[in-house]
Amino acid sequence: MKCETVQAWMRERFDQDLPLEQGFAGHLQECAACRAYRDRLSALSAALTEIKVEEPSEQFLRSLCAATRPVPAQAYGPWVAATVAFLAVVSAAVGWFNPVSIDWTAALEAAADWRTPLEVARGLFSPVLMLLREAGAALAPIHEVTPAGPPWMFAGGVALLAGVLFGFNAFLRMAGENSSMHPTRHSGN
Amino acid sequence: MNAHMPSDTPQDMQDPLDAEWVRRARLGDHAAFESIVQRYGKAIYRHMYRMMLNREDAEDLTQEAFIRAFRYVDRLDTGGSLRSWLYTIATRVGLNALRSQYRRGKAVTSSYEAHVESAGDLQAPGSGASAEHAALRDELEVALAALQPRAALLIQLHHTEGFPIREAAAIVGMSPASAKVALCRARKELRERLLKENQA
Repeated sequence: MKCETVQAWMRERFDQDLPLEQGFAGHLQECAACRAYRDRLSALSAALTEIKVEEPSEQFLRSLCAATRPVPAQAYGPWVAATVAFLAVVSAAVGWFNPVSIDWTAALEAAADWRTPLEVARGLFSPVLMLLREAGAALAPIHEVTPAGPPWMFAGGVALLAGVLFGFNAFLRMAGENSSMHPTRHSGN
Repeated sequence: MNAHMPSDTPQDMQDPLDAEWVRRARLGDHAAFESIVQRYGKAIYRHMYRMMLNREDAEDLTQEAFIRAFRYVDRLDTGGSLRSWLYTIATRVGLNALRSQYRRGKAVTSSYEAHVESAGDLQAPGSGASAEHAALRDELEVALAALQPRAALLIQLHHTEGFPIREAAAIVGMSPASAKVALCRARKELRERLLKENQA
């Protein structure tokens, strides 16, 4: 058997990660060149199982533990949710008991008149609160006035109110179940 | 398949210790997270380093991978392997980072060149090996860095980390059949390069 054939076959078996010697044991005993070639391929196979690695520093591993450690949920979260829910309910209640039509054009213009931080805050929240008030008005059983806003406003207001209350309820349930995960990011090495 | 290959039998049964840690991690137990990081932190870092070829990126992305893993720990199948799952997340994080580096035009070759220069300084297991063997490992390290990232990953996951082909394929997002072909090509490329057999 020719050495060239044997070595080509060994190459093919190496590429396919198969045993190199199968079928050639006799030839390999007699042929030093093919044995040497087999040894080189075997060494390469062995080297693949012990590829050198860059080890992380102990400091990095410590910081990794710290970085992935969960921290308790922010304590003010429930307060924010409670305040939002309270405002939503109050706005809807105002609309319910005092279903006066809102002049949306004037109200939105006033809301858009931002000069001070307080006005910015009012501008951001008042359309939502007005919408909720309209929702309350729409739901009022003794409706005496026709609200000025289009029907979608009432639908939107009702959906918003429902969403806020549902969200608040879900938040309270989630907060009650466990302290939620907020992994902190490792800021450096 | 044969005796000298890593087993191709399923290994994705959950290690009992891992299963307990995952159960506790889902309940928000901080100690369980730490145990997972301590057990797999080094391995995931090495995996990431093999992809990124530099310490800084490897550290950042290892952290990113663990944060993602813990954020989505509920998504791990109850009977699934935590180790495979962590490697899968780390691989996705690493490949995404490589893609974004490529898109930004960051020279991947600069990482490669730096890696080639530092290859001789890296620690090698089995320090009593012959100089010839050590030289082969140095050359192998450089040759691996020149392979396609997924091919190099497959080589390392299957041969170095001992993952069965099926799991290694899943980790890099390939079918087992494609992974076998890619492994075969990668081994051929390494052989030709390292045994100076390039007949081109």
